Amino acid sequence: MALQRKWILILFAAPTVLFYLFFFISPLLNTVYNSLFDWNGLSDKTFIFIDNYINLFQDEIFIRSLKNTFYWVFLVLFVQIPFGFFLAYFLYLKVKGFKFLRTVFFIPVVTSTVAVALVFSFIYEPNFGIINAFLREIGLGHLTTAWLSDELTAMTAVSVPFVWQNIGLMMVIIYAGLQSIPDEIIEAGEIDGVGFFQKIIHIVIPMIKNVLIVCLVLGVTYAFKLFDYVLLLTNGGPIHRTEVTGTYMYIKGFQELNYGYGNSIAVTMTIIVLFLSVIINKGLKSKG
Amino acid sequence: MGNKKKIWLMMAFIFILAIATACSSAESGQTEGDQGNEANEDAITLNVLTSLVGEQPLSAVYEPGFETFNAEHDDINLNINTAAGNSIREKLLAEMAANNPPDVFFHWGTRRTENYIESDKIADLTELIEEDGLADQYVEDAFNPVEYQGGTYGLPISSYMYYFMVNKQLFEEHGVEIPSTYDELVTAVEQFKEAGLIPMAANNHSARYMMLTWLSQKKTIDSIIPNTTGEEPFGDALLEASEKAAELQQLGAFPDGKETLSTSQSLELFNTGVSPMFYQHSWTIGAINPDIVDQLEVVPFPLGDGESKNTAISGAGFFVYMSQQAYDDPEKREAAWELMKYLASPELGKQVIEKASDFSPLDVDYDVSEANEILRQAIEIRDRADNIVPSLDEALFSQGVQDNYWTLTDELSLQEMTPEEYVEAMNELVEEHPSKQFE
Repeated sequence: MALQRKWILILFAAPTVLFYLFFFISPLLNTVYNSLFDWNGLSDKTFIFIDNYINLFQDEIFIRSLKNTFYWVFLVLFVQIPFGFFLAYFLYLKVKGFKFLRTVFFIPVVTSTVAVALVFSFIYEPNFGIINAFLREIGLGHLTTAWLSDELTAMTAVSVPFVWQNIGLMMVIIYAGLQSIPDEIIEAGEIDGVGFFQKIIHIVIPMIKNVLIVCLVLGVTYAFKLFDYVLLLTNGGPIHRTEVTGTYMYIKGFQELNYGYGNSIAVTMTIIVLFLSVIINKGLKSKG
Repeated sequence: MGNKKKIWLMMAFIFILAIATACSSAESGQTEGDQGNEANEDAITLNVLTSLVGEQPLSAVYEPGFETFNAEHDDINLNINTAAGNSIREKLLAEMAANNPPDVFFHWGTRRTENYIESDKIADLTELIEEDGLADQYVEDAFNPVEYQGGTYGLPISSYMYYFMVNKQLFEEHGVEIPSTYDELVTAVEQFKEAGLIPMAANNHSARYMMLTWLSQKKTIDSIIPNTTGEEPFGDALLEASEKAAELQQLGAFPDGKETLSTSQSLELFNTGVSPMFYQHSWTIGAINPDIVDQLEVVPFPLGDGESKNTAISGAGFFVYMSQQAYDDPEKREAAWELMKYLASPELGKQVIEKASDFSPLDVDYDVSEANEILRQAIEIRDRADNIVPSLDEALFSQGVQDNYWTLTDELSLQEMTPEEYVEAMNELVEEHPSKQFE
């Protein structure tokens, strides 16, 4: 009877397992395999072992795109998650109209990336755009610039929509974590006379540490995975100033028909994200 | 068998049946783009990939064109797949790589199809073209961009020209003379700059087109080909042209951040009277503000110096192709060829001029009163030119050079490299990826 039951369970699980193997594991292995070839996606493959990886780490544009991607990671760590935390904490205090505000803060997350990129392209437009028009109106015309082209501002300008759109997501995750903190602990702290910042640093953050780890892993993953804003706003240009690993992989694979090289970028990105995720998990959990 | 066991087995059976049903219905479902002749079960189905949809000016001709063809051919069933604008590149690549190419598709010349031709994914149409005597219906050199190592791989459907347009009213208002030489252009730029206008409504493409035009004013098609095959390095002509482009950038002739402006955004500067000059690809003619057409004039592009010839950059730019897979199936080949001949017919070529306001590679008569005024002027300028050269952007360069030289030209434009370094880098790039089109 137990044996038959086992087979029935296997039968039910099989479609999902097969689906997962076929659509998730097999493409991953296929990507690793293809990265070992010189292949344009059309002709015969030529096995070159790790040459793509050797070339990749000598490729100045890839190094630049990696630096730009790490800049996104930096913004996730020091802007997106802190902002998400303070918005979540603001809602957690149950201020008047917090339900309405919760919806407002979350709207960017469900807004189409294309729509957000379009709005920001109008905001940044150097000749008619809102930012430059505003600066001219208030007499700061000397500060106007081509936000998406200027070497000093281009990368930050393409990062802002990405950071802004995902703050709401971080807020919702952290908010869920805050709600799980028992009221007694907070009250006990208040009775002991802790101040606002002491409460956050010594009570709230340690209590939601696991939630923050989830936010960090998600943020780092998104930073490496997302490239649609770059593609829509600047296409990685001008002269690779806003190139990130995602766009570079796309350009190499789908525009320059260098599939093997594109796959090696994908594998490298996966390894970096996995490595960072492990570091975040191990590093932060061990301090608990 | 216990009741519990029966229920488990029944549930498992229903589950598998549900999956099987879902899969089979997905396979037999008709795709959205089917323009079917369902009544005729023997009809040949052709998978067609088109980018000429939506806001594309040529869609006004080719969307109804497919419908007409379908209505007139009971024996052919068109399954239309779309990828608007430049996204057709990625869609076609994915389908080619998956060995599931469309039977008939639109694309640019060999600059974008060289890899497909070398991988035997696109059919050589030389014999079919000769059998039907199609070459006679096109203007001279229309097939050049789809000729590759002796074969002809596509039928031209639209042509292009880079046209220089000025807003006469703004020139008169600010007392500026319409430039006919580079020096006069520099003077005009300085005067408009002083008046607070952005002299050229440009993005990075326009700036590159200007440089290519000054280069071409000192070249002919025969003298420029050796530069693309690596037989002769680019020399003084490119150096002088790139110096001019760099100087205009320094003078502030272009809008801030032109590198990230789309062509439509740069045209908006011209349409709204912020800029008095515009140099662009002819596909933009259909997007010019009709309210200001009376104020506009198409004039020859300013000559670089005393040795420059009045040159129009023009040629065939967009083509219809047949996949090798379709060609290998005699029935599909016949149906696909029928469709291609219709898409590249004088009937639609006439509509390209009259309805889409673009150049046609077909030697057709058109109703002048139907044609856009700007297009009419541009055609006149081309016909009066002493020298007609295809654009290095649209033809001649290999795919490898094409993939890299835009960024290189942006570096020149952003003063990240000097004109001398630019010429050197271009020669290195061509040496690395020489054109094999003419071998």
